[in-house]
Amino acid sequence: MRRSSRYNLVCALVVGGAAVAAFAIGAAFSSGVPTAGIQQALSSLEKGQYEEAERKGLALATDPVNATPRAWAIVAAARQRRGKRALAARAYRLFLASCDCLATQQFTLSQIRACLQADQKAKTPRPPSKRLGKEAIRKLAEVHDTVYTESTEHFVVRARNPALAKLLAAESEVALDRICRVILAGQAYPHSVRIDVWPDHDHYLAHAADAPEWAGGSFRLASAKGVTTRQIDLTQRDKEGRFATIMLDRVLPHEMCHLVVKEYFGDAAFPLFLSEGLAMMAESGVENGRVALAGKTVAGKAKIALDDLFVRRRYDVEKPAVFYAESYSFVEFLHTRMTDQQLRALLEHVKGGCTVTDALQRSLYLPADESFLPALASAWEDHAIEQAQYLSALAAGGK
Amino acid sequence: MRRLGRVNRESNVFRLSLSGCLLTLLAVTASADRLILTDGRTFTGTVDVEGDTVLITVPYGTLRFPKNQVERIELKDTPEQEFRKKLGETALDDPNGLFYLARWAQQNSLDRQAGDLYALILKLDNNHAYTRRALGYVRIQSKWLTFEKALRLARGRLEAGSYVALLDDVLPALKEAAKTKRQRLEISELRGYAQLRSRLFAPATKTFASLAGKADPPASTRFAAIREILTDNPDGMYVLREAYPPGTRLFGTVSAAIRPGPASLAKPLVLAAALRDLAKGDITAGGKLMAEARKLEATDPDAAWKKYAKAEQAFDRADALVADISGSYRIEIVRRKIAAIRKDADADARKYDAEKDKLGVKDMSPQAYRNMILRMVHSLDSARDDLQRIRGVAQPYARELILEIKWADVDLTRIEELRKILVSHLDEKK
Repeated sequence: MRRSSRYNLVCALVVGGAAVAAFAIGAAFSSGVPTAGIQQALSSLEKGQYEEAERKGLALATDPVNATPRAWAIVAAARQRRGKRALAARAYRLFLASCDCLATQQFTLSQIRACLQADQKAKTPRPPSKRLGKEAIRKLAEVHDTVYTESTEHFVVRARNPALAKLLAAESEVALDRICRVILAGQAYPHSVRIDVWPDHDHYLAHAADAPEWAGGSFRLASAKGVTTRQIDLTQRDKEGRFATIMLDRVLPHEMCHLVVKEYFGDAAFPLFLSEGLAMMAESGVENGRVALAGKTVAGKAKIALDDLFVRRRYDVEKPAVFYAESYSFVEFLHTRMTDQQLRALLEHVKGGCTVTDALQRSLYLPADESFLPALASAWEDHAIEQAQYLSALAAGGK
Repeated sequence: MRRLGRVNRESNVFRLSLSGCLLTLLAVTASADRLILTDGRTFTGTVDVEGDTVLITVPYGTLRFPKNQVERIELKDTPEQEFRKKLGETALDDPNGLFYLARWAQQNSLDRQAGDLYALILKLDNNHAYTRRALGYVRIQSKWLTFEKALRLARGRLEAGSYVALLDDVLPALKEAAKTKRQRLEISELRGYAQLRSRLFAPATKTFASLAGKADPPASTRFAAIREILTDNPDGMYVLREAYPPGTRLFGTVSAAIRPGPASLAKPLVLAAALRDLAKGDITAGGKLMAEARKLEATDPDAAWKKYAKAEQAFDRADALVADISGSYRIEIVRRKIAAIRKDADADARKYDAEKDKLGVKDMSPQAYRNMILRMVHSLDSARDDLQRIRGVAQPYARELILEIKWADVDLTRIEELRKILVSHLDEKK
């Protein structure tokens, strides 16, 4: 008896559910818009039934009597989620033609780009020195009497080695493109920079302006009598007289990033961790030591807490290695987890005088919330530890 | 038979208790006599005559008039007396008769008597529909619920996804029972969301359009935004531009989110994402106005503050769509206001210092000296007013602007101390 009443209840629910669906579909068709078809396709998409969603969407989009171009969005999303990216890009293009909302158009374009770029291998910048043979590296260490000059769109490179001047000019453009497009999420840099390469550290210290004793390179942005000087000073050879590959792979993009950021921020206060983090991101290749150290410190007691990291200045950095590792790790984390638009907004808000926490919340359009920073710190620490463990697992596998 | 006997006994008890109440009431206002004076004034109360004076007791006291000022006296039954007569004529086991008497009592402001009668009717017939409705009950699936309980049930049905029952049964019953504007709006809102979630987008658009016209801000802003979203997407498909809830990618909780791309507005999270997109537009507009205002602050402060006010309007709309989404922008505006007020306060402080520097430097007449002290007090008062304004504008953001408030408090204390000294000095010189 009880089973029978339960059975009746189930039947009633099923009939009721069918009635709701029929009611909704009937009402939807009566409005003249193919709402029911769209909703059914969306329902399949939501349930992860991508083939079904694509089929339903395609039927609506290509209906010979009453085509619904908006259904291309469903077709595109279904294809994209199935990994059919080229076809998805095509569907997105067809949707774009019917789309009259600017923000949706921008989203659609970004999806087309994502579909097309996803098939290309992710670009991890390979250190330029890795492309050079031993002989080429040996020749780059040569110092001539003459100063050779090479010019490109943004750079005038002066070095006592013609091959080096040429190489640096080309690599500078590559580095600048990466800094502006990737690291700074689409920042323009319509300026010319002079790059002076000094034969060794002594020459560098003697000639480069504001050169720190410990550094192998530095940048300078100065204005005098209406003329702005943008300069990067580098060192050609290491202490042993060999060509300093580190200058090509790390120091050049690092200093260049500082220069671009300094130019962008002007007199506005810019957090040190962000400046250094971005500059380290600009370097070619990933320095595994930094990743490992960041993971180790955030998991232990030696860590600099995120709120502390945000406000550290150059003179109060007690543990530079930890500071640099964490700065790199956090900026890399932001780069991984934020869109270009959000990153641009973040830099804009910091430039406008916001604290980093406020700027982050603003760039993500999140209401101000006390729990934001602890949640962010936790997510970043997890990420840092995960990255370090990944490296450690790779190293163990290598053994 | 037994049940009827019980009811009759209870009815007698009720009649007795009701009569007792009436006697008490009659003691206070024995009748509703009308006293009309020769000058046309009219009073209603209990009339008495003492010699050549006519007294009338009204709710706020007793008035006395000479007889020659009285045009006439009309002696009438009070509503209570009338009620007692009607009660005697009504069968106490007739729910409908009692109901009509209860309605009459209610119309004549005899709420307690009406309440007693309604209680009696429900003892006679617990499902007496007229009485239940008069008492504000709502009948849902053969059960009588108070309005609040029925509203809770409706909200529960919405969350449970029982849209047909909600739209066909619960909400019409609630609508009939709704008495206030707020209740009617809440029912309409529930209808709108039920229509939306059951994918009835066109009716939902109409409901939210109507709500936008009837509700007060900020709810009306939200309803208007929903109408806008539904009008722009009549097929109920919305293209999310980023995962929702926001920040899921940053915090690494992507699995819990709705992915970017097309999704149905019937899903509450998709609607929330669409509202957030509109709020983002308002924040961007407000941010631009703030940037323009910042540039104008030094050269044209009035124009700058007009721009800030416009920005605040944009933020109001954004906050109506997503609670407190523009909080940090508002705080920035307040900080700028505080900076501007600080400038005024500093100018007053400089005036005070300039006057103070003159003290003891040259001889001056007692009157000139007094005037100078008065000017110093005036400067302090002006600075104090500015600092109090700072406290006022900062108070809504006391946590974020704690330094600004502390700073103002410290300065206010100093000003009060200085003012006391100056005023006591002035008093001594009188």
